[in-house]
Amino acid sequence: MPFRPYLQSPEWTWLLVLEMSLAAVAAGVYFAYGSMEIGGHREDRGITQRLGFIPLPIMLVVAVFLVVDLGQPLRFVNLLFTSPSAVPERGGPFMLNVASPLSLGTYVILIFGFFTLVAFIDSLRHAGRIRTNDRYEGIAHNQIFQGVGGLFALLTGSYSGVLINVTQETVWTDSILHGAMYASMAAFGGVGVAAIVANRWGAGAGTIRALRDALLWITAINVLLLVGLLVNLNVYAQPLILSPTVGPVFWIGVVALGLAVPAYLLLTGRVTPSRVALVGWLALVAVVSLRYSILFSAIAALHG
Amino acid sequence: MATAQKGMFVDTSICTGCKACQVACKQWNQLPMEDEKAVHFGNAFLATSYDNTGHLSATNWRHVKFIEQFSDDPGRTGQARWLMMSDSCKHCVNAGCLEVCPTGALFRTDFGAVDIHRDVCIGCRYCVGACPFGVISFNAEREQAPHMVKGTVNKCVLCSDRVASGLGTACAKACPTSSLTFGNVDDLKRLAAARVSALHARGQTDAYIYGWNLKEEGLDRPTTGAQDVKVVGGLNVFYLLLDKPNVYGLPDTDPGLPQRNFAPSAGATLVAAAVLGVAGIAAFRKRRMDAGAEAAD
Repeated sequence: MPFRPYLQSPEWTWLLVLEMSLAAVAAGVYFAYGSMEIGGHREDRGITQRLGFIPLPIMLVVAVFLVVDLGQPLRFVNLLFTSPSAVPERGGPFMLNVASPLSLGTYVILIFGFFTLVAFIDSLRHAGRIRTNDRYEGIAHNQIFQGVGGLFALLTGSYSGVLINVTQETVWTDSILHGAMYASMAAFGGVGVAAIVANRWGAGAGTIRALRDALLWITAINVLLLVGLLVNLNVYAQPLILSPTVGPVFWIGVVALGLAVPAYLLLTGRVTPSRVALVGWLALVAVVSLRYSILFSAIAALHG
Repeated sequence: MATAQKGMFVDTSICTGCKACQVACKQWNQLPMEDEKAVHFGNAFLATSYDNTGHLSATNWRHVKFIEQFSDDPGRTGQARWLMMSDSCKHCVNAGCLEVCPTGALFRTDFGAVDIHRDVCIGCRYCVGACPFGVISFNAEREQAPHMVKGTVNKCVLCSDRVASGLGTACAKACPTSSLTFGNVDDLKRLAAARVSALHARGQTDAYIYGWNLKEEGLDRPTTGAQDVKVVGGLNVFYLLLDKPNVYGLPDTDPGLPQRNFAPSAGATLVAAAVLGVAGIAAFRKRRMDAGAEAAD
């Protein structure tokens, strides 16, 4: 049965799923980087230095994709600066509409981009590629700085969830937990990448155990949020869980591979680097699957 | 002195479905036919009804809906009724599309209409999802034409060029039955109240106004029979309907602005971010503490 058949779809496509997923991974990796820098052991630093290289290049790709995905890509500057042709009463050189998550999100991504740049330069410095002064070192490793960066990372990871919630489309508008779910899944993906990196570079057993704990706790948060999301969606969960185009991705990608299998792997057997890394790969599958299924469930709802 | 808000009253009870309004809209705004892809895939024209396009689109800013109601009762075959409704942008008083636009491309004119700066629109399509009536459409195919810029959104702009010159809308001008009436919104509300009262007096008690609650506006209309439905703070283009809103493809209840979700959604996200932050740091901090405890032992 179609829901709200009078609506029109924004015709967002696979490119947006890719953008949202890449931004989530970049955000999640910074979250893992920040968490390990703030709470971690000094043995973890080898991993955090490698993680610092990841978010900036991904965010640059995301920015390019975001621009290319616009109907008028060359006008992307209108997101940041008030066009001379725009409404006179807006005033000021900067375009900021606080009622629009898309407008606010643009600035959140920009600010997050700054934090990823600092992390990238810091990783370059630790890799011996460049030299910076002690003051830079102080800022890059300041825990408040990294905490704020972690917050902007999670805001970037959740941004598209809040954005779709502020529409009239079925599924998107029917639960206020999309943003929270997106943030949690982004964190899952990011810590997953950290687990993959830790496995690849032969991290110590302590680091692997800590990554396993982080993945387990985030899995628990994911389960709670997903149950909350489905309960909150109520009857409007149908396109998400039953539609032939979206339902299989949701059940296989998000529920089975993204939550059930990781929970099993994390709770049973020995904690080995490869096992934790496998959960990391599954977390990435979950990130893409969640964004795909939520994004296209609104279109499935229109067509019944 | 504030400019009077202009709008239209659409009285569906006297619409004959002639589509003169559709033609006038196409002609005045120089809108081309549906794009070739839609024609190719059979989405451009229904061919199953006197309703030809089936929906509004980037090139159809006005669409006459034909709602065909046939009786399921075998003894009453042949008994049918057509409900016709000339649909377009409602120029909502609280317009979701305008609120979410990140570039200021959508704006409100001095006359209260919601217009588009096509040279500012970036084609993000956020407004398409924010419109509760499915009015705004993305123009992915058409190259530049007088009112068409590829990669931007399109919709009825209440003939802002005509209105600024003191003319009414092209569709209302062409309507042969005055089903479409252009004017000051306050005057149109009075006209609507008189029309609803007249229909109720004749026994057509299912007539009501969609867009405003005339009682709340201090106007006299019957308190029995179908009651008015006010949505999104009021519609500058509003309707007299003879059946439930969903029969006409309209939301039955007030959908509200999409921003109603913004604060709760952002709040839930911040709580989740805080919990995630604590969980993430604690997972790594635990190891440091465990190491400290082992060293103490």
